[in-house]
Amino acid sequence: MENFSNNIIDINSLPQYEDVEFQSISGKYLLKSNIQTGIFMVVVLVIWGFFFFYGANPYSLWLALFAILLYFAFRFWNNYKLQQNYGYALRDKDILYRRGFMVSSTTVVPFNRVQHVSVSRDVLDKMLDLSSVQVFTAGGSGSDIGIPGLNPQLAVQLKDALAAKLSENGS
Amino acid sequence: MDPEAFSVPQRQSILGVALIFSTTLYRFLRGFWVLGVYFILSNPSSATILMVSLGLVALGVLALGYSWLYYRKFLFHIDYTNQEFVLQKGVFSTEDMAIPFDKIQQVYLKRSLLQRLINVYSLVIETAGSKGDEVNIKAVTREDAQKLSSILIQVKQAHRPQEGGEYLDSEETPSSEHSRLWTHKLDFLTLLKIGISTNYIRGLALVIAFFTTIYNELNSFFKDYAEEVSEYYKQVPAPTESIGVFLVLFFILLLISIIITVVEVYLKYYGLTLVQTRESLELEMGLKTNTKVSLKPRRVQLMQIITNPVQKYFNLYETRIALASSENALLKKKIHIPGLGKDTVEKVALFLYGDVESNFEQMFSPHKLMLIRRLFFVFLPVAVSFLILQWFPYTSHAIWTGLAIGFTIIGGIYQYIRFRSLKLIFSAEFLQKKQGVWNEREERFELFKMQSVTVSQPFWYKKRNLINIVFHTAGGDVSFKAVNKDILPYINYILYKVESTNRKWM
Repeated sequence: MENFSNNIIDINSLPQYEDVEFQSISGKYLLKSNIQTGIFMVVVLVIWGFFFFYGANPYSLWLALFAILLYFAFRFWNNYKLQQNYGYALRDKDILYRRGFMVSSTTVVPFNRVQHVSVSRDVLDKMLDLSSVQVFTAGGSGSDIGIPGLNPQLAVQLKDALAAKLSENGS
Repeated sequence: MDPEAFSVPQRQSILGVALIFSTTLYRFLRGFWVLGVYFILSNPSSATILMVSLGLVALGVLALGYSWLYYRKFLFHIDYTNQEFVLQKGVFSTEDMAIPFDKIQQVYLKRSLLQRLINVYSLVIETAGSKGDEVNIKAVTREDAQKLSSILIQVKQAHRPQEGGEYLDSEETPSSEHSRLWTHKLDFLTLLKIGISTNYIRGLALVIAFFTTIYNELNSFFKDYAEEVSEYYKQVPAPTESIGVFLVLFFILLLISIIITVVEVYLKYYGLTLVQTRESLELEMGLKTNTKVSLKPRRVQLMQIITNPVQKYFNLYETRIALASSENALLKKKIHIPGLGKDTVEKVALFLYGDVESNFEQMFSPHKLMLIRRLFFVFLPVAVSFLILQWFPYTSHAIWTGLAIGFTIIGGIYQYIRFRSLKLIFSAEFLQKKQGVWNEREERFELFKMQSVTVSQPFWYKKRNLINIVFHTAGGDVSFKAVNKDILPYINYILYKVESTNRKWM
């Protein structure tokens, strides 16, 4: 309360997060999503193949195949759309992360609420030379963000930049 | 102390391999012991036994290899220049994390039975982040563990210039016994009133669930044997005749549920005392487990005030407070203080939040699209049950119509009241959310205590310019759905409040 003043703030003149330009993530992430969906599809098709081999009712079998293909067509198309919507942005005092196509969400984490940052890579990330950055806060899992599909150097840079911002804000 | 200690990335104790190996094996066994038992019971031939044993040996070797790699890749060090603790780990997927000194909440050592056997310690580093222990180095020698933890505790304190001794201890008795401003005690009568007025919805639900099960059982029983006992079937008392019996049963069950609640409330909140001193609010309660908490304004993350019409009549308001403390990263449970009068609630709020004047107040309500969607979900079961009725006549049309109309009216009214009650109110320092059909719930938090905010828009909201918002606080999320984009300037305002302040959120 020490340096609290009660000036009238023109709420409409405050910086607007919704006008921020987002950086898109690496195009290779689309490949990663498609590989993941592809593996899943192969598994489903193999299961379908078993049923086919052991002669289930052909009508429902073909109907199932149709549904499976339709579903995966949607998934691949959705991957493509999702890819276009991934984005992040750094401002002076916070980090923004946008994702989602059917439901598009943006999370804003102020630097002075960040607890720690980590960089992680899974097997596919390693093969495709990608990284992801996680930002943790004290607000429960919903408030944490994890930006996927970043160039590894960029991920490390981002993490270091965040760490620098944290110590700037710290104490 | 050596200022360069642990500054080079290093591994945990080599004994860690044994630890990782045995945990991997243990996990494997836990997952597959059923298969093993099945295998033994199936009386296998010697050839299969050989095959399976070979397979197991191969698995063991793989697990050992994995453990070795895990050990090799698990590297930690202290980065003194960037003032952070760095950990790298993972065989297939890797993680590289850094914890700034000033974000370290707690450092401690612990050992499990196995760790005791091979004489190593677990070193745990906690932050206020969402996962319990962010860093758990599972195999550290006694010497290293003590050295590392003492260094970490040192740097943590050096980078955390805080007023000392602010603990949530039960031992910490307020030195200012004499400076009591006011005291609030719950007497037996109030406890009784709380017991009677809380949770009887739950009791009612219990009763209804009980009856539906019985009804279903009876129904299916009579369906199964309908043909064989068709003569007896006719003699089963008609619904009108059994209503008397049902009512008596119903009241007995209601009475039981009320008695249970009263006893529960009595045990939990026995001797609840709220003492206001100059610097804190001391709470003590409980018969079985005595809880003592000191509520400090800075620690308060989220406050809820809950009441219902009956409790309102008795002037009983329940307050729930989510606290954060540096000792105990986040108290998992919210603190419930029931049975406060309206004036006491105001006094508590005044103490926790101070007397802040607001030069504006802006209220938001959800768009009616939300109501329409909710009503749709009320109609859905009606429509589905109608369709099922066409295929499989489980009851007569007359009964169905009666039930459907009743359900629709009750559901519709419920959703309408619920929709009307939803309010989000921004003021200069606070965010408030109000909701409730029967139980009225009011949540509020200081704007600057927000941790982050998520704004999302399903594509079907785009045309109407609506968004869903979740405010994340350390005491839980506060969400508000289907609100017009006019709210965005206030989202920017709350971000401004968080980012422009140096005040500590905990």
